[in-house]
Amino acid sequence: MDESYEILGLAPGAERSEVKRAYQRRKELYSRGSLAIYSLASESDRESRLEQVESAYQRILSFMHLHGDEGEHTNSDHSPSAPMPDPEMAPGEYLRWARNQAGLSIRQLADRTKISTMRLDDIESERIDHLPPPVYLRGFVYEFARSLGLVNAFQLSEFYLRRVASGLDD
Amino acid sequence: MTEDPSPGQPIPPQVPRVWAVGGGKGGVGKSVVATNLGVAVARLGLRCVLVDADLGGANLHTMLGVSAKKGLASIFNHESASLNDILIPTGIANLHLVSGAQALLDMANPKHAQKLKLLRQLFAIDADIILIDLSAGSSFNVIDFFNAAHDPIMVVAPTPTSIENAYHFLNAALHRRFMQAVAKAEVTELAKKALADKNANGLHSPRELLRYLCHEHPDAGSAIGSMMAGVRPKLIVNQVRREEDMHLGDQIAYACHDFYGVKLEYLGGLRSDDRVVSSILDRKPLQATQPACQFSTVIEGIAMRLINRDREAQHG
Ligand SMILES: Nc1ncnc2c1ncn2[C@@H]1O[C@H](COP(=O)(O)OP(=O)(O)OP(=O)(O)O)[C@@H](O)[C@H]1O
Ligand SMILES: [Mg+2]
Repeated sequence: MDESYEILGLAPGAERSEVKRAYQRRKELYSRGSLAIYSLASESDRESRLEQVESAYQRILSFMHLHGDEGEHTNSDHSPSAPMPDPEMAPGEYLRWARNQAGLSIRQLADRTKISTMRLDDIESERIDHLPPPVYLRGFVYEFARSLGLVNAFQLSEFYLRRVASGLDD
Repeated sequence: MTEDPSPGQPIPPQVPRVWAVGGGKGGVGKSVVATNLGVAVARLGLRCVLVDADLGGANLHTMLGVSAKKGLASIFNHESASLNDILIPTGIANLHLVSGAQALLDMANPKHAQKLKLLRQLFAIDADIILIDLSAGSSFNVIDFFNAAHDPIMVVAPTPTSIENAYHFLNAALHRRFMQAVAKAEVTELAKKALADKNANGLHSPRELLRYLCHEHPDAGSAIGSMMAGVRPKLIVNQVRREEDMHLGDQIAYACHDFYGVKLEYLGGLRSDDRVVSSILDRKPLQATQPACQFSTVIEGIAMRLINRDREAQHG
């Protein structure tokens, strides 16, 4: 079973949504004429890898089925319809809200951004004493926001720094 | 647990972090990327030194609009003792240049001892970030600098020719690093023997060779395995014209996992932009003149990301 996950570039036990995403990406990677594998794979190599990906995905799906995972469920602790906090006044809260909207746990976001769960939590909670110096903080906030697909990632990092500079006193 | 100091004071790292920009193909934009990344780092408040290691085709002084009186050449012919003595101010705060201009013809291929000396000196420059611009190609002279960097960055354009050269380059860099790890683990003879009849053993990549060594000599195998696991090349896709190629970087990262067993990190895609061309004509980096344009904001995002990666690597 682990081998099937490995073929999709996943760690064993990855969640259903991740498996699906990884499968779609590998399918694209090994599609005919794929630029990203130019000079790496011959046509027959490409085809056999595509078949491997297909059967790995099917194996994982039936494995999940056997273990009673029937698919989509949300894992957010906040209701997705919670009101949006003001990104300028409460950038940390805004980030937490946006993460919940995306249905991601802190752990999942940490995997995506390579920022530790503790640091992400400090950022969301605006724990000013635990935050790194501005030159680094800016990048963390930017990365956080960007990985959620927020278009205002830059603006948000500005808001955040301003908020920290003002000592959260207002 | 180490506490972060209070916000307000950036603490400079003790040793400079070294970034190197390479990627095999000529003209893909290595120098453009290096120059603008350097400006971005400086604008973020860290002291940056750009090093033009393309001795056969030095460009950085031109892209920055400075005249290069003294450069790497003066280290090679012993006119200057230290790189710290030949830092050229760029007119941009926090940014200095070590120029590669005025190198003599034979300097493009330095001797092994000279190369080691230069590498030692690079890590002793008084700055936070050292950013090396490499020449095209996959020669040892390029690869050794690429491999020595904390953050080796490949620049690729979305064309079959660039992709082909990039994989060749990556393969060469990984292979060289692998053979160095093999030597360190003192199993060179075993590896050589395995490679000599590689067709019999079915060994076509370092990955397969590693599997073989793990089987034959588990201790050495796992030592080499962990040395290779630390290899984290980065990727920038430049001169993107088609929307679909904005995803090419992610796909290349998956391909590197599947074919080389390497965790390549895709840093971002840069669109083809006429302003880049004009900025070279004006000899002023776009990052300095138009920091808010799309090209510059992507570069700035990449700089921030790398700075943070470095910090995590240093402070755990
Ligand atoms: N994002 C971009 N948009 C438009 N043009 C670009 C872009 N990046 C690079 N170029 C063009 O490509 C040319 C080559 O770029 P650059 O000199 O940085 O490449 P290089 O990889 O360093 O080349 P060499 O291998 O010769 O050192 C530039 O002069 C510029 O005209
Ligand atoms: Mg160049």
